[in-house]
Amino acid sequence: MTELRVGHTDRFGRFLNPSIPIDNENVVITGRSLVNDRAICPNPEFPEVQAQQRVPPGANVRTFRTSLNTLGDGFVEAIPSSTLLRLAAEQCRRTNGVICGQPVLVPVLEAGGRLRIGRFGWKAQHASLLSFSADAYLNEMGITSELLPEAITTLCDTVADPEDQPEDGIRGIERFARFMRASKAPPRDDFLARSLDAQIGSDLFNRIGCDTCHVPTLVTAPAGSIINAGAFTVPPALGDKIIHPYSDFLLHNLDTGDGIVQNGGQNTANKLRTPPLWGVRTRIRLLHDGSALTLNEAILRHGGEVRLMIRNYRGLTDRERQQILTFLRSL
Amino acid sequence: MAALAIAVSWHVVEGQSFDSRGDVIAQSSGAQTGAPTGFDDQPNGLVEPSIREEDRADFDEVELIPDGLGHIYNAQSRRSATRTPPPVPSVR
Repeated sequence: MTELRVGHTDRFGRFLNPSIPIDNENVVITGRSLVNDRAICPNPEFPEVQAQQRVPPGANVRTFRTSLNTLGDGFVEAIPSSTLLRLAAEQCRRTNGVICGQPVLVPVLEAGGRLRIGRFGWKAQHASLLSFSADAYLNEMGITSELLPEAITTLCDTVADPEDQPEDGIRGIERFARFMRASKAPPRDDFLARSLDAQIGSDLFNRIGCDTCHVPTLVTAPAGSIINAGAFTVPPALGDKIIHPYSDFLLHNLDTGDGIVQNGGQNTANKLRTPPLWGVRTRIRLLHDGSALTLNEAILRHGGEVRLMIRNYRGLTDRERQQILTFLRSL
Repeated sequence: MAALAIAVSWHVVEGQSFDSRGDVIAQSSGAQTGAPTGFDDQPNGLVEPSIREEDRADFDEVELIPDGLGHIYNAQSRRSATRTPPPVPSVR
């Protein structure tokens, strides 16, 4: 799925969320950059109500965002925040301040808004899968929940809030979070991974510095650790696990940024979270907006903090670049 | 340095101490193992397969207006909201 986000910059260059009038300007939606593709009305019960959002005039920041793979996210949630902070500090030190991933503290809804280092979403705007789930319910499906009980508007909405009610003793947002937590991590393509080209490609990937941000290996917190600002205890199935996500889950400026600000503050407008590369072989549209259609194209679009790595990549032989691409197709 | 901009402080919530990064890390038993991987839609050990099936059915369920859908929305199910292209195995 691809979602649409818009906004505008003020005369100081600050990003501002749009004000989007709907229903012939009877209602104005504010406070978020998302523009939903669909509306439930007009419908037979409300034939006169025009709820569809449209991009307002003056929205000079516009971007599409592809949905992200959620497989293995239970392990990502269990990565200690201290690990992400350490990665940020180490990469900044090793690159003499050129590559400095930005961790952002985001509210954990189920912990009363207490903060944790974010790791989910293109802006690392969520730290917990239950918060992510509640956000998806509200903003992608328009369904309110115990954690986000207020609808974006109540226009032609006849179901009492919160709309997500327990079934068989469990709420939908909890079931969705459990579904993601219980998912296995994306596997390698073993056949391709065993090939000599993929193995050489893996070495080249590291040698030219791609592993600075696309970190190959991380370890989850031990079972019994209390994460999500006190709201979740890491179970044995997720604790002390070695994972290979190929990400640092930090925000970076690669000159591909979308201009949107969510939880991280104005300096994150053109930063995006390093997307994990595990499972990348299953995706045909790359970068946050899906605009890169080949792995090579996606690599060459990188700039900003990692421009040196891309210069290294360009300096490889054709054969070596192909070996890196073979390696990536094995992930 | 961005990483250092987040100062660590401590606070107490419900009798437990948390640093400002949101975690309290337990002592490791030292036995780290590889996380289970697979596109087989089987659980990773967190839940039993029967629970996984129930959760997957909910993941696939299409929401309608009486379920609370909208008033504005992008997707009618969790599956469609998070959909990515299916895996394509390499030629053997």
